[in-house]
Amino acid sequence: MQAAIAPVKYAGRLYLLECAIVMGLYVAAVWIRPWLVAHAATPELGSAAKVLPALPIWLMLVSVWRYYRHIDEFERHKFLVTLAISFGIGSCVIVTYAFLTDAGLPPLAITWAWPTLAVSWALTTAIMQIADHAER
Amino acid sequence: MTQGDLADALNVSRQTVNAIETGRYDPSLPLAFSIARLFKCKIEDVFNDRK
Repeated sequence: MQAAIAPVKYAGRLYLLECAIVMGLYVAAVWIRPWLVAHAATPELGSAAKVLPALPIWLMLVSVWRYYRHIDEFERHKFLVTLAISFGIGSCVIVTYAFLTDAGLPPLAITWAWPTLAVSWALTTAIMQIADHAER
Repeated sequence: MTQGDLADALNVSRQTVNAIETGRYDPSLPLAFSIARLFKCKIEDVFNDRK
């Protein structure tokens, strides 16, 4: 069943708008985080301030889920295939890099995992779009 | 009727209409019923066995 939020043709625009808002919140959270950590009244509030940028990441998940519910069945099919391929590739890249650190490459923080998956997702989406256009 | 008009009538994307028209995607039964209702045809007319 379609989530009757708005016509399907607006799904992409709504998704981009929500992504822009969420990314704005993420940038704001990263920017204000050091100040909040430095001025936290209690250690608990300091800990809460340290994880603040994680909240927009969870909002991004909500945004992706809303987009998935909004698009039609063919777009969902493409979306899931793209997601599966890209996260498969991204996971392989992450595991390969983990082994390469034993070969001398500098270890990276686990926070690099999400950008790696995001870049993999963006590249796979672009390649799938090009392939889709070529098939027409 | 353009692909855009058909997409609006079925509440799907124009890419989906294009994919169905060019045989790259077979619609689900609910969507096929919607197409059949719109064109006043039988649901089996929506599908084309290319074997």
